[in-house]
Amino acid sequence: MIFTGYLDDFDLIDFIRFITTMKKSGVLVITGKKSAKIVLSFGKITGVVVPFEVRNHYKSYIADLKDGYFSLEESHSLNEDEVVVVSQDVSEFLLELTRFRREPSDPKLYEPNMLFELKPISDIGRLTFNVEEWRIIAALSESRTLKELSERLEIGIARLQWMIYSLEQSGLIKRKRPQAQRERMTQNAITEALKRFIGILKGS
Amino acid sequence: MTKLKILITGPFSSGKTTFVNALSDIVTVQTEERVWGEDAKIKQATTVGLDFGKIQISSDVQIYLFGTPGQDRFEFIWEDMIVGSHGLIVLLDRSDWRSVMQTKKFIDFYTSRTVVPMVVVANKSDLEDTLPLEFIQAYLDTDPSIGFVEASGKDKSSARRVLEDMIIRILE
Repeated sequence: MIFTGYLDDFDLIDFIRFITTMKKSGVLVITGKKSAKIVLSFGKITGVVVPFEVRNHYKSYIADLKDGYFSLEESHSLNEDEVVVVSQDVSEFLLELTRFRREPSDPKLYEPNMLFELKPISDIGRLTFNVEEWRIIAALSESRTLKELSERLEIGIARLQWMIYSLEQSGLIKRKRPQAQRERMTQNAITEALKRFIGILKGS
Repeated sequence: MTKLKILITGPFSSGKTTFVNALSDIVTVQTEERVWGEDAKIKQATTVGLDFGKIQISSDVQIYLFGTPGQDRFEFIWEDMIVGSHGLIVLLDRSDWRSVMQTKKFIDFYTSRTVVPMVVVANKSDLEDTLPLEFIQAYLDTDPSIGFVEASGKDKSSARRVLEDMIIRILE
């Protein structure tokens, strides 16, 4: 499978999360007005290559890559001297990248009624959060909507949106589906007809 | 006559039209137009309105299948088509990583607008070089109430298994 595309179509941070989830290895090469390379090994980020003058703040540089072409190359030769070694795990790396973003790539993704919760297996202890992130995490000890979080924490929706984006991209929180009461199939005739239909499907 | 409305949705070229065709008892209503630009490399025609198919369950119960268009520019139609739905099937093409990434948007779109039963289908499972199911599931990380199955929509029996799963969820 060939992993190539344009950053106009896919958000870089989301794409990194995708290929790391897929446990990919290789070098993600980004070329455009600004260029960078991200080295991956079985879903872990092991290094980056950026212009020499931005090596000390490579995360803000990478977070700011918003246009250009990207390609995941399985065999790509690198000059070891130019690789900045990354020893963080993916969640922390992505969390830091998103902190440099001023806003989520698609603000429409976060509507005020969206419900969020902490992921049950989140290993929160290994990451470093700022005060506001800790407040959000603490407030999500039970699931809450964006609007409820905003009111409870007294953080504006706009700011909260991209903080939620950071925490979501780093895999610490997730969206939860509202469990509204559904109208049950009370009409016996329909229920029976559907059950008979399932019997037919199973028999076919 | 009682009608159950099931929406078939998902990204561009995830197999929605084929899926509706595989399930429908009638010749389906399609609104396909020629594809231009980059998307034309993937397929020649795409749905620009909706696909419609029908299954007669009994003398007084029918299932209506509505396939949505997949491209982002038809988002306004997705919104309209949710109304009155009893179930939602979200298809993705597991042989195309773009489709898997775009599916997240569809799941988010619908989960914030409806609480009807939902099943995500890793479609085109008959193709070679597909993404592993466990990685797709890990990336999408859907709510436990949303089903996740693999299928090949051009195989009628495979499409019917998905429908069966959907109906069981509606009955629960």
